[in-house]
This record gives sequence, C-alpha cells and structure tokens, in this order.
Amino acid sequence: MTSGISEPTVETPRRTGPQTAAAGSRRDWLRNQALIVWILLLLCIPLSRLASESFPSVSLVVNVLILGLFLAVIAFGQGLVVLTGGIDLSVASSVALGAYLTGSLWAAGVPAVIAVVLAVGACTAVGAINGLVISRLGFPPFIVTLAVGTILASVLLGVARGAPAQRSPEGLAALFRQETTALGIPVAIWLFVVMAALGLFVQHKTTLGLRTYALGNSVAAARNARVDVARVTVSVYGVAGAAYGLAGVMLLGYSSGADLNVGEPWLLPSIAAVVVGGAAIRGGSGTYSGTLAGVLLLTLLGIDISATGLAEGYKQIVYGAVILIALLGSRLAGRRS
Amino acid sequence: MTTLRTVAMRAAAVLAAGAFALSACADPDAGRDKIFLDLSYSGNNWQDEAANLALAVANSPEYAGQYVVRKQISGTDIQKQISDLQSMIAANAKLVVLYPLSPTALNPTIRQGCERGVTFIAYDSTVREPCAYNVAFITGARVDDPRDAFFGAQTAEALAQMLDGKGKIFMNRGVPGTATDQVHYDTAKAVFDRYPGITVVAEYYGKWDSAVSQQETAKALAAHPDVNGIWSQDGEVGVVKALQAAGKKIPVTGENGNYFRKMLSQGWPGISSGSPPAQAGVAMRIGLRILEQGPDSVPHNIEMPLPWVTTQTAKPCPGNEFVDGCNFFPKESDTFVTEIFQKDLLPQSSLAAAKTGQPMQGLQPLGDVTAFAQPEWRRVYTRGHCDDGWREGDVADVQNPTGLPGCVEDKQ
Repeated sequence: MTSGISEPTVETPRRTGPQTAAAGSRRDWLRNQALIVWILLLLCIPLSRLASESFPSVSLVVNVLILGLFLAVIAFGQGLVVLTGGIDLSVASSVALGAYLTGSLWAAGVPAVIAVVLAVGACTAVGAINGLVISRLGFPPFIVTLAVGTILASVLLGVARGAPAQRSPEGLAALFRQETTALGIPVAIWLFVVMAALGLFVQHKTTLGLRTYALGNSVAAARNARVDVARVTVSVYGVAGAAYGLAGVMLLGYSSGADLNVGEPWLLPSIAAVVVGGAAIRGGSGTYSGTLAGVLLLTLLGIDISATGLAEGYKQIVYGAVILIALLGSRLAGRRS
Repeated sequence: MTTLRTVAMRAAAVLAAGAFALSACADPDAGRDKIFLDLSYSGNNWQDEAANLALAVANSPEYAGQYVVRKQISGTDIQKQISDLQSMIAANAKLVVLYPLSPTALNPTIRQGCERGVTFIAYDSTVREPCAYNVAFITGARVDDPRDAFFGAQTAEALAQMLDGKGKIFMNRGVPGTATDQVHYDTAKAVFDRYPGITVVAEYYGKWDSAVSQQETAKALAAHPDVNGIWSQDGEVGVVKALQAAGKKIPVTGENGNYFRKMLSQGWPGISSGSPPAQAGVAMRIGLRILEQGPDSVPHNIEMPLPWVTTQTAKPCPGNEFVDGCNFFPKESDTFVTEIFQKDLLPQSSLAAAKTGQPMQGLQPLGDVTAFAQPEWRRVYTRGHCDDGWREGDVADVQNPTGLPGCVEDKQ
C-alpha cells in the first residue's frame, strides 16, 4: 500500500530551493509517520482499559469500525483535497445532499440503487464545480468550497421546505444493522474494508492519485510535466464530492433517516484525521493508510473518552490534547529517521 | 463588438428603468402592520415545524390581509440574530416572534425595540428582558397534573420509578451551554440524586440531534453494556435506534419524536414528553392577541403544558388530524416531532399546517390564557431573578418534586 507513494515526487520535476533538500528524506519520513499512528492506535486499544473496565472488548472494536466507517469515507475525500494543498469546507453540505437526495428520490418512487447512484452523482457534480471554480478562477480552495457549501446548504433548505428529514430506503437501513452479518461479521465492517481498499487503490494506484501528489508538490512542476492541472483539480474535487455523498448515503442508512444537519459534525474530524494521519496540510505528502489510522484513532479516542464519564469540557480538552500528542509523536518519529 | 456593447447598454437601461418603476410603484404592503418570525438554525424537523405553525396562524383567514408576515433565519450566530432584530426594528415591525439564541445577549436590542413599540414574543427558549413575552415549556407542568413541573425532573422521576429506584443510567444532554439544557439537566440530576440506587454511568451531548445521539449512545453502550435505562433530551429517536442495534430494550425517557412514540405504542418502556413545536403557533397567537387587545391582555410569562405520553397511551393517528387521543403519525419521518397540537391553545392545528405552513382554518379567538401563566415560584429559571416580593429559595408544597430551587414569597 505504500509502494505508490513516492513515485510521483520522484518522477515530477521539482522547484529548486528548500523543497528539494527536504524531499530526499520525505519518503521514509512519510512511511514512518503513518506507521507511528498505526502503532499508537494498536497501543490505545489495550490502554482503553484505563477508560472502562469492560474494555478492551469485541464490542469496542466493532463500534470503532462501524462508527469509523463514515469518517474514513469522508476523510478520503478531504485527504485528496489536502494532498493538492487545498481544504474542503463543503463537506457538511455535500454529505447532507447525498443523504437528502437518496431519501427524497426513494420516497418519490425511484428504486433505492438508482437513487443512491443519482445522489452520489449530484455530489460529484458539486465537487466538480468546486474544482472548476478553483482551477479556472484561481481563488483559494477554502473560500470557494465555503461559498459553494453555503449555497448548496441554502438550496437544500429551500427545496426541503417543511420536510428537512428524509427516511432511509429499508434495504439501506438493513445494511447497517449490527445483526445484518456476512460470515459472522456485520456488513458495516465489510463496507469499511471495501472502502479502505478502494481508497488505498484510488489514492496510490491510479493516475489520478499520482497526479494529485504531483499537483500538491508543485503546480508549476506538474504543469511542466504536462499534467492537465485544471482537469486533475476538477477530478480530485469531484471524487471528493462523491466520497462525501457516499458517506451521506451511509449515514442515512445508519440512522435510518437523516435531516439537513447530518453532515455538520464531520467537517473538523475529517481534517483532523487527515493531519493526524501524517499528511502535510500544505499538500504534496500523506498516505491514505495514515488517514485510516487517524480515523480509527480518533474514533477510538471518542469512545474511550465517552466511557470515562468525564464532564464534556474535560472530554474536549483530552481530545484536543491527544490530537496534539499524536501530531508530536509522528513529528518526532519523522525527525529520527 | 460594438453591437454587443450597445445591446448590453440598452439592456442595462431597460433593467434600471424597470427597477425604478418597481420601486416607484405603490408599496403593496402599505397600511399593513409588519410581523416577523425569526428562527434559529434550520434544517431539522423541529425548527421547520415550529416556523410553519407560526406562519399557518399568521396567514389564517381570520387575519388575512391585515398583516405582512416575513420569515428570517438567524442560524446559530447570536450576533446575526441581534443584527436581524435590529433590521426588523428599523423596518417598523409591530410584532417579532422569535426563537431566542441567548437568554441575555438580546436584551439591549429587545429593550430598544420595545421602546419603539415593537412587541417581542420568545418561544421554546426564553429571554430575560422584562418587556418581552416568554412562551416556553422549560418550566412547564405536566398536561395531566399542573403540580408536576419541569421536563427534566418529571422524566427523571418517571425513569427512576420504572427502574424501581436502582440501576445504571445514561444521560443524553442537549446543546452544551444553552440555558434550556442546563435547566433540564439540573432538575433531572436533582431527582436522580435522591435515589441512592441510581448511578449515572455516562453523560454525553446528543445536541438535540437524532444522528449525533445515536452515535454517542452507541459509544456509551460499548463501554457500559449493562446500562438499565436512558434519560434523554431531544434525540431520543437515535437513542432507541442505538439500543436496538445493540439488541437491548430498556426504559428510555425522551422528547416527542415520531419513531419514539411508534416504539412506545409497540411496547417499548418509556415516557415521551418535552418541547412541542406547537409553542411557535401559540406564540404567534399570543402576539396577535396583544396587537389587537393591548399589552396587558395576556401574562408576560406563559408556560406550555408538558406533553406526557406513556407506553400505554401512545396511539397512532389514522389520518392527518389528531383524533381520539392519537398522538403520532406512522407515515411521517422518524424524526418528525409529533407535538404540533395543543388542545387548549392550538386546537386547530393540522399536519398540513406543520409541514407546509398551510393557513389554519376556523381559528377561534384565543380564550383566557391566565391559566397558563407561569407561577411566580418558577420565575427565576426564565427571567434570571424572582419577582418583587419574592426571593430565591427552595420551593416546597406547591409543586412536585418538592425542594427544587426557585422563588419563595418574601414574608417580611
């Protein structure tokens, strides 16, 4: 899963200057940083005992994987955008669009599968619009995605007038019930495995994934290497939009219904998971494997902190502190190598 | 190129002329008083139903043509609500019906508005500024017994009873830092503290959101699979779904979600009470009453009675109306909030009014509402201090549960 990471930085001509000096050690640095987060995660599972006497348990792992599924899918999209050096603030609206469209199309008589495809397609289109505006007009990604996200949220509010909540198609809701299993394991966990594999493949094995790294390292260099920067940007944001939409569909199923606020709790965790997983917030480096570790670590921490029974203020302090420790740990690991 | 530019200039000229003509036209709203509805964040069922019910009252045939009604969404940003209210005052509003984002931050703006003749009615949450009217359920008493006050305390008492006074429980709170969450939590905690056999093993914030509540409950269940009951604010639909996912059927007390009532009607042990969206419709009726009959025609502090539906009384409505004591709509979405109707204060409500704002038909004049005035001993929760002649102290005798903090008459 790490084999594809370093090639693009090697293949693409780089700008001269400090970046060149740093780039040599970057390969190892990256690999280690993701590894450190995985080790931290594995350490934290037995340490959960500190939070609750009933931990660690099978139910803990099952819950981490099921609750982590949504963040893993959203953070995949956010991770791609961060790789290009951007940041996507339209997450909440796109997640809501995926959930709302699936629910409302299904309620209007469209078969569930087609409703899901159309909803994810619409989210891809919204993402592509983000990418178009960013690449054609050259505005900073965070402000473009903020604007597009706000417009989308308002359109949804207007369209949904009086009925913001949607029901989930029955089959979709059934997928996420814990008693729905395949080979004795809940289907939601299989979904996690499939999504993780898909994410790793797209980010590290496809042309799009490789070009994303190129773009994040240097737009000018990527352009020199005949990468169609505009097309890659549109594709990256489109794929990210599709991921958010898919997460929206999954959340609709998990809660067997969703309203327009369904995406709001996920924006900041999606950025946190990507950065904790070792990606550079300025783009160009990071692995999906690291992001996955970040996702699972954050989800596990959320459950552990919830189990401690601390007051909410302390919970947030502990959460923030652990994120800082994770960042520090991976930074130190990077230095050593 | 030249032709293009000419065309563009002509078009601009036509547009400008059109705009001028429009503004010069007689204002169709002239002579009609302005009413504003100001809501908080939207995009969930509760807020939309509440707004629709308020609009359904203001646009009903009884008032048709008398008022211009406008809706404003202030989001969750207090500064935005303040500036929205200032714009309404500047636009010569007569009446502002609002969901207040803060009990204190709006005070100066509201006072300024009152001085310019604007009437303010806050619904669901409350404001402390004395010139504003509060229509709120926070301190309200059970619809079936006016002595049994406070959503938090009543549901806590009911849960403790269902558990025979012993067991481990979760508390699913609302939005952190809001006055409403604090009152619910404090009064509930005061009750649980009286049962030595009850232990609160997990407390979390479901943020009055079903999806968040479901995830938070799932987390807490992973740590405490032996929990015996859950006390919840709004979000109880998610609580029940998390319990179902874990294969547990334990008592839950919560608010008025459609799915929760449906589960109650199928035998799930619990109590459905809490915040009715009908409050906004009632607030609009109170406001219109003040416009017609003056500021002293209603009490300043009105309590919405607390709905109270049990496993025994939960009953599906066959159609779109509340008939024969039915209290939920099986065909509506899971998070639809069922309390859109109040037998005394909003009897003409309908599902269509709550979902689309369809004007209510046959709205009878609001009768005497003094019976719904908040008793002085609960004033401190909504106004921040006791009335003249009252001081803060523990309230005995007049309400259940006894001994909660409140106001007592100053005998000196």
